[in-house]
Amino acid sequence: MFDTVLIANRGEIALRIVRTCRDMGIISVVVHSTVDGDSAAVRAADRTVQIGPPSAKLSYLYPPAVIEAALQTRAQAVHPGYGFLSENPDFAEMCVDSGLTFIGPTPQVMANLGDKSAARQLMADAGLPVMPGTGSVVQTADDAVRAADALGLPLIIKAAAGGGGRGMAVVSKREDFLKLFRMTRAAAQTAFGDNRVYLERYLEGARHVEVQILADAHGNVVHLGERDCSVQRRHQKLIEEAPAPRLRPGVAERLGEYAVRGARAVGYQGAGTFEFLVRGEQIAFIEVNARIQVEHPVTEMVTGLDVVREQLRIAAGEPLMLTQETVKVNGVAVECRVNAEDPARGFAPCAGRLTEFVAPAGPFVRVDTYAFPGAVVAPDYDSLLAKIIAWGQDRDEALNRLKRALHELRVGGQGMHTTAALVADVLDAPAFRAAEHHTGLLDQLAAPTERGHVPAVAPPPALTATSVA
Amino acid sequence: MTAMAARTGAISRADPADQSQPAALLAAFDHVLRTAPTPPCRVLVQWGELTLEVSWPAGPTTTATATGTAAAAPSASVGDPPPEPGQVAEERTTITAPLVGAFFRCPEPGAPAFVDVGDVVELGQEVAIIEAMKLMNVITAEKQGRIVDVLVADGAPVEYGQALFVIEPVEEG
Repeated sequence: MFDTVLIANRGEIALRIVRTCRDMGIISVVVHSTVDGDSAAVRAADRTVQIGPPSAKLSYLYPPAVIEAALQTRAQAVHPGYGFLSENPDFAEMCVDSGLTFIGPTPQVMANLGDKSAARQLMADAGLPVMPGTGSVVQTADDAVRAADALGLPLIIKAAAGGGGRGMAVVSKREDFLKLFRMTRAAAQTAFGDNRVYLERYLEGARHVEVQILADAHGNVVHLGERDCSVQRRHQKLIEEAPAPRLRPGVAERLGEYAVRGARAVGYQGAGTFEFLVRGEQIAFIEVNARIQVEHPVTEMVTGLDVVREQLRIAAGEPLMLTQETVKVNGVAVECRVNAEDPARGFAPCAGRLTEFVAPAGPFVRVDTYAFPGAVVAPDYDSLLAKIIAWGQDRDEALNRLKRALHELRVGGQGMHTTAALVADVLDAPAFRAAEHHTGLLDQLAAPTERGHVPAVAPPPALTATSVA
Repeated sequence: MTAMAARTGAISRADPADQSQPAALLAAFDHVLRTAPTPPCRVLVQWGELTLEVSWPAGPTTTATATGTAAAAPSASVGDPPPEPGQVAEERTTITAPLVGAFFRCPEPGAPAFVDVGDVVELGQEVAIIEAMKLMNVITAEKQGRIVDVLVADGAPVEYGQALFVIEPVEEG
């Protein structure tokens, strides 16, 4: 096992990784920008290195600074967390070239899965169900219109370089197609430096269900069950739960089998997530997230397994200690994300110093956050403030505990707003309680309410959303 | 681990072709004072190299932006550690590391140091090397002044923004 691991991330996930390092007796090194010099992760870490200014491009997204910090502190491995450099095959390769272990899949596998169009084809070849779509990217407007007419509506335009809910547009009217095609290409160019897009039939009224897998360097692959992440606002997840409620008989088993088969087919190594759309008996593969995900705690709560610990063990070359038979799902865990955003102003991110922060606690509640009174919510990064997770023996118990926990949350600061009231409303929504919801739930709830969290201005297009999956 | 240093807005390096420098300088100064949310705690005006420095006490993030013919963009030096009380005189500033790496005082092993305590450095003069990813990055003085302290040992690792040298202004002849 490594004795020193560098964490190339910030916020709650950096702190989360530091904690498992401490559990395992591993020295943690946290790199940070100048605004994060007094962050919770920096306070908790064994060692820290300031790597750059607030702009992520010059700090958390700047490979030479991260690698130099790792070499300086004699770290043997780099944990990239989620977002930032976590799915950057060039960075993974630079780590390897510098004698560092990148905690994740090999650069080649990352590159294959990072192109969403290519990944879709790889998984189709491996026998996973995919929605009908263009087998590869569409270049010209003429080609796109022809392909769209052949596919039929509704359809979804996806950026090949996108992922994590970014770089997508749903087309339900033919006259909107060209406009959305051009917008998606332009936005993808801006966001990812890559304007290639592909088209897929869009599965309306579907649930978003994903499977957590672990794959070691010795050919062992297991899945840790599924998560339902159907409560989304503009393709960004708000509430996630494990296991997925009210799936038709046999669907969960098929999802797990597909994920393991897909992971084997591409030689996956590490922790990863296979995302699917599910409607009734129908299953369609969406993408693979080749990293730890924001919502991994719900899987940890129902399986009793530490996903970060498994990542570290796999990266160190150790074989999985578990088999599919030993993975047991116990009870239900539900997570809600609280973002520092102002629902009354089109979910604009809020920044500033927190004057008050009281985290929920109590029986069967877990809170993953970097917040504390005095902590800085920097305008330079994504708006995730806290993840509140509750466990129960059944779904109702878990949801009631999550409501209780959400009620205890206190966040204060000049101009500071959160999405807490919005998620509380979702927890009360009859469709959600009955688990009859799908990814369109938030649109259905968009009627004005007393809490006034309906956007006063048009929300930004999904491509500009700042959170990561 | 950290601290908020006093934020400094510096206006310097005016266009030498500009004949109305003093007037433009004062106009810029006036603009800075009017647009800043709080009064400054320190003002430094120099005529020769045409430097105007205005410092505000550390506090919530706000940056005054000066515009005008003599105004360069103000720089907020949040990354600088605060001076040790009584150790570094108020007008002294630091040259900081612009990247993570290993700090070297000489161009090559055995060669004399780029600069030493007591040396006067000019704007843009080479003062050190920081090696990162096997590349030698030359560090230059961002302003003119006399080196009064070298804060990092030769060969030691440095962080982004870490203070390397303390310099103080020298009187113009």
